[in-house]
Amino acid sequence: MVDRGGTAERLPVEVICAPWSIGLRPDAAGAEPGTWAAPRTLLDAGLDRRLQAVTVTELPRPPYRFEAQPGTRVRNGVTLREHTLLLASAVGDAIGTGRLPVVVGGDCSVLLGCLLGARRHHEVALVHLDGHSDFTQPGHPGHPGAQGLAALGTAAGTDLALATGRGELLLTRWPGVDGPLVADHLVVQLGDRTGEALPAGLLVIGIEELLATGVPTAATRAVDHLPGGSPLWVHVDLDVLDAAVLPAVDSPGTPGLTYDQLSELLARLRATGRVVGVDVTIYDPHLDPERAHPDAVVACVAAGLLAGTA
Amino acid sequence: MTPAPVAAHLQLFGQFVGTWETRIAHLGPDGSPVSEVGGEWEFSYGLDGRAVLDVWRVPARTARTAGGDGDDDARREVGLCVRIWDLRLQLWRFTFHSTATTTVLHLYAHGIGADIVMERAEPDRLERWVFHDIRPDTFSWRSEVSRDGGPWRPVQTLTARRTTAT
Repeated sequence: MVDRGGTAERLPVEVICAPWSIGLRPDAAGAEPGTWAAPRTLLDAGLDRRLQAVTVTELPRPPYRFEAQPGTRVRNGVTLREHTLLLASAVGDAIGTGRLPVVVGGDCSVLLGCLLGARRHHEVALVHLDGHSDFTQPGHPGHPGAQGLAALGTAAGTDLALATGRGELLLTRWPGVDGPLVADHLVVQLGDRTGEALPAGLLVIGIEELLATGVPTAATRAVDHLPGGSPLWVHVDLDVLDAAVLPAVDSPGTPGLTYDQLSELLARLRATGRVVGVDVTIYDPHLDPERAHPDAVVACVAAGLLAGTA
Repeated sequence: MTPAPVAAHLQLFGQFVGTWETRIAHLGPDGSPVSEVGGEWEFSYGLDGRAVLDVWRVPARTARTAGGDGDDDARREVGLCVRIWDLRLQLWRFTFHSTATTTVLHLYAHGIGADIVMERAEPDRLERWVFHDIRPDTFSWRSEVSRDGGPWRPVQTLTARRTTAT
């Protein structure tokens, strides 16, 4: 049984690599985006060593399909369900053996497998650090379907909607979970720069507010919003960083956080003793051919997750 | 012999094995019935106990179709559904083969509470069929559509009464 009290921050880290891009649309050249290469690139930059990981689990890379799959309008929807279940098993096993899973994506759709794995042990609350709310559903002007009926939706653009039970059955109904992976009132979205309105039950602390009030105040507000004692899963889409800091992501933007601000935010969440898992997504090595950014990403994540530990 | 990992799930649709008399109402935009028709529905195990198959007939073979010109059987909508529990996806997935339209539909299904929800996505809409009020000798079923992320609107309802158990 996992200790979710004050000693949780001493849990040994297990790095779980989820090398996929299946939640994204093709890149500007019409090819598979490169987020699938991020886990290996970040491991080469020393991520597991810096996190003092006791284990590295590398999941298979799913095939990327350009055409629609049967019965779904989510790109790679069938493949995503299959690999979400594989990821959930790895996350569930890590938590079950008393480790802190740090899932390295991959695109934001890895969130579903992370939450499903955690749900095999307990209900979880979600801190969603992302420059976008990832709530783009059919009917929204930003949904790919608005560009024409032939366009497919992408799970990485709607991961938070799917996690809260909105969208196709294929990606919202999971074995062993009665209802959504996470309830609205157990979600805090931090860092959105789009201003997109979300359902009232979710707390949104947009990037302007986050920067205006500062990381300590925003972190306190986020944690206080979530029921005391509920274990936390922390989703980190690295596009919450300012594009001037990290442009090698699928949808860079500004304003955004600095590396120091993201590290401090992670450290404050970890200091609650409630964090049971973290995922880090959307760094795209194909957009960083000089490998200018992996060292900084690794340093940022390690500083945030190991702060205050012996 | 049904493989054990599949057998644990097969009862979700296996409970319907047998023949059923159906009454189908097509609904207008305001949700009220605009037409009704009787039909038949036969469920059976297939593929060496690995699947549940069903044959859907509307109108029933005992009924005459609207044309009344003696070519009733040609007008009858007859469809075959092959339902398989997908161990890899942990989900029911199936195909519906319509002889009337010659289309093949791909659907997914999951038990949700006491109901069974089947769903498929089209470019502009989600379609779902919900088995509800399921009892040993009766059940109800409704078909709904959500366009462009909008609310679910019912388009068809069905009530079924068991006529044989095998």
